[in-house]
Amino acid sequence: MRMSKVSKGLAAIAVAAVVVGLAACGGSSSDPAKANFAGLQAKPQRPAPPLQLRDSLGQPVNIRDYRGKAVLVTFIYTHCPDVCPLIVGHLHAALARLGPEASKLQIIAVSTDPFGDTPKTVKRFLAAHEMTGKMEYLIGSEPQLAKAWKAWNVVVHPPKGPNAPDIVEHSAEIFGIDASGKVATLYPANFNPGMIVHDVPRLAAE
Amino acid sequence: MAAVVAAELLSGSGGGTARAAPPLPRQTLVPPRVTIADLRGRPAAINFWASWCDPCRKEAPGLAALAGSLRGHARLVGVDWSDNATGAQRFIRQYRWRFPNLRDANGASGDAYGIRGLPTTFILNANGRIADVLSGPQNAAAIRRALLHVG
Repeated sequence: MRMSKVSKGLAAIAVAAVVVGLAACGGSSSDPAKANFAGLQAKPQRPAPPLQLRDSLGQPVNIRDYRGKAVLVTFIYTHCPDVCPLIVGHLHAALARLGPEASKLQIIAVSTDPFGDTPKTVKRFLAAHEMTGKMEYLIGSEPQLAKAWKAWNVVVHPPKGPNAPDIVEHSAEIFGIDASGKVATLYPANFNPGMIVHDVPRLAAE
Repeated sequence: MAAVVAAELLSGSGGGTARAAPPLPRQTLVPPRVTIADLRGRPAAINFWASWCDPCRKEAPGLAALAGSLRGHARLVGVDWSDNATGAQRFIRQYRWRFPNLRDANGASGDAYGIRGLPTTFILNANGRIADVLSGPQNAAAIRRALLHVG
């Protein structure tokens, strides 16, 4: 049972690697200043797709409101057994190392499970990861979330209903958005927190 | 893919050129504070875990049993990685862990060891070098076997 869950999680990493790999293709950079990310450079840099949902407290969140900051967007679900907790663990580590510079960063998680991610489960998840107040966690109905998944080109195989199997396969790359609102860099699911620490000042300065 | 990840985990540590174990975090959850220098002279197992990690819960009772059975032949040290401190303390109480546990609050030790998932157990030889890496939840017998192998 557990092996099956883990292997699906690893499959998610594989998907992420493929997506990031494609995004990184496009030849060497002609702009060394912008190529200076620890994450893989997004080519071409495009404006971040729309992202407007409610967080787990019911507050509306619009990614446009974070212009001027570095923004990381990740797609996860709370009862994910393997990849998502590690992503959030690494984000927690990155925030701890950023110290005061963490104020230049906004982390946004978008649910990949419209049934399992509820205000209650998200509250518990954020507390367990010591991320309460440090990360927006956006939830919604399947049509609302599916719109975001499609806009961000994230592959999600959501559960068929509330009682469906508890594994949600999803691609797990993390998007790095610069202060001007462009997707500037991409991180694989197994990124190192040091990559974020390195990139946040650069993303926030764009 | 699983094989690839396992190979990546082992690539920097196995074989005759085992790398030196990176420093352990300083913050202590269960004393005494332990350093790599303290561990030299005997084999040791360093287990990275977190309270939010379900497979770590599965492994936890076995680690408590292992710690009680080592009798000085080897050491076991837990490292709580990028975790909620309160949750970590509760976890330690719940599983009655008495062996030394350190807190890697900013994940720096985990990075230095190159963890790719939790739980991960690093088996150190008596020279403080990483001789083996056990990925995923282990039982006491598996860790004891790995310790005997390097001892």
